[in-house]
Amino acid sequence: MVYAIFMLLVLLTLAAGWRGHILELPLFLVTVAWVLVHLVLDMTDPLTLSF
Amino acid sequence: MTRLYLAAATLNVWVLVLVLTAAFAVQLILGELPCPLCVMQRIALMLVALGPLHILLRARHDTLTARDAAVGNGIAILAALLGLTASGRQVLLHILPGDPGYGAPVLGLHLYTWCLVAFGCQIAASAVMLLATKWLDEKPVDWRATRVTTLAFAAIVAANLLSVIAEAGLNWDLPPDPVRYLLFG
Repeated sequence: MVYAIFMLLVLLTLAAGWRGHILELPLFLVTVAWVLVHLVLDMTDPLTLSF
Repeated sequence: MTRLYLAAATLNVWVLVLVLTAAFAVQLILGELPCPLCVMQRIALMLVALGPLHILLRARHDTLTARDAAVGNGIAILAALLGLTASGRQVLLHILPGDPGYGAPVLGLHLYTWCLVAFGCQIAASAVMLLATKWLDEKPVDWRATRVTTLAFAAIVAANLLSVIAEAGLNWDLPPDPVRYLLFG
């Protein structure tokens, strides 16, 4: 479900860009930051086995 | 020059759409479901595409300026660095001799290795686009490909969204080695 949320954020950022909304860049940065945190947690959690 | 710049940005988005479509084709035709890291790389590709799309959408609203181009290329580079982290991680997980890797190789390389190459190429392309802002003439241009390009990108993201919901079911995270769509039992 978390990956679906990331993709929804991508679509939201696209919609903001389409309308020239000021939130386009903040939405993108929040998405990148959250994806990075998720990636780092995946890499550092000994119980997670990423293929 | 602005028309050439917008053409390059349009081509950039379509290449990323094709890469995402190819990954989807591998998933549907070969039946190889994407693992969590694979999905992260797909998300990184989507985030990269937001960069050239920003350039196209700014040109749609107003005259494309060097500032808009810089923001768009910055978005692409930042997302590509994220993608390099995910794909680099997956390459290193399977780097030991004798490791078969994850999934079937395509044209001799695994998909995560192709992703690593793609993200590297994207950074190089964005660097060239940044240099090219020197020749932007900042005049309004009627660029008709923006709408269809944006729709194509939105469609592939939506398709991936439905796919990942089917794969994860009601779980927060994906299983490490997915073999079936959990939403369908």
